[in-house]
Amino acid sequence: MEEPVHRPFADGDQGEIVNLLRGSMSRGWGTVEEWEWKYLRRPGFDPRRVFVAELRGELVACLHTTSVWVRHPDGTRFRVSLEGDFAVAPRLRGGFITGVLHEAAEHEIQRAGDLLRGGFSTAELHERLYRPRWGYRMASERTVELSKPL
Amino acid sequence: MRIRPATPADGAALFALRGRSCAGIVFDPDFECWSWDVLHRPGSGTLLAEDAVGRVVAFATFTHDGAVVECGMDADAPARDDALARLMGEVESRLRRAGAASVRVRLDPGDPVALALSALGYASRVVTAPQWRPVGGDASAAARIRDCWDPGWSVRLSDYR
Repeated sequence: MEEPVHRPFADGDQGEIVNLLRGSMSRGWGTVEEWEWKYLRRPGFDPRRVFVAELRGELVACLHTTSVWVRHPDGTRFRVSLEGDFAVAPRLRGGFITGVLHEAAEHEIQRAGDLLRGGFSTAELHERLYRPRWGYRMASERTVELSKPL
Repeated sequence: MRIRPATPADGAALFALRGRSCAGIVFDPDFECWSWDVLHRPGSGTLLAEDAVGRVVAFATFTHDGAVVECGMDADAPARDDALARLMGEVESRLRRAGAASVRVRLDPGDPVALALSALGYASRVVTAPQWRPVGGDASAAARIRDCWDPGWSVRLSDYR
């Protein structure tokens, strides 16, 4: 069986990435314009921090990471890798491509000198994948959504 | 108190009021990145409330489907509650006209804005939490961040959720 190959983002991938995100996310995704705002045109964008996988020339998976600064109570600033928009084509889920992209990102994040990597997840996905497979811990803090009908 | 759309000249004042995280850790962006994430977001608008002498007391950036993607408030301003109430009243009015079914704001539970919105009748529910690991299983990195890791902490980055 042919194996997907991974590489960093290259200009021209935008449309395929957005199509993949739209076809993979249960809540859908936005437009190419929104992707370019969120990643490509954002100050400090590094194409080496966006990972894609291809199978026979088709883009079948993507993982987006970026470095952000946080401040410790003692005043120390340090960088963490914040990650999201991790999508695998539905027909290829359950295979090894998820791990391949996660590992590819790990190498690049280490090279960049970030101390932590993380992102936001549901409890279900965290327990099913991130904790058992890679040892992520979920913070005890929670984000709340405040809402009001109009 | 006056409610008006923000302009690029307001960027620094809004940055000073941007959302803070809880548990002692703050997301610490530079102005350029924050401004890009919030004020240049496609399809969004920003309103602010300013007092009689032109000080910005509160602001909200929202998309027309009803999501408030960033907001902030001067927690020390005497008129902060009035400012936030008027500001959110205008945001709600604009979203209603745009056809949104609800207005939704994601915040850390201890954020002053969250407490103020609760007082304005907003309902609260837990939606997500951050997950983290040391890069490469690096023990020294793990030790360095343990103090902020173990109590649990979050960063406020609704754009990436």
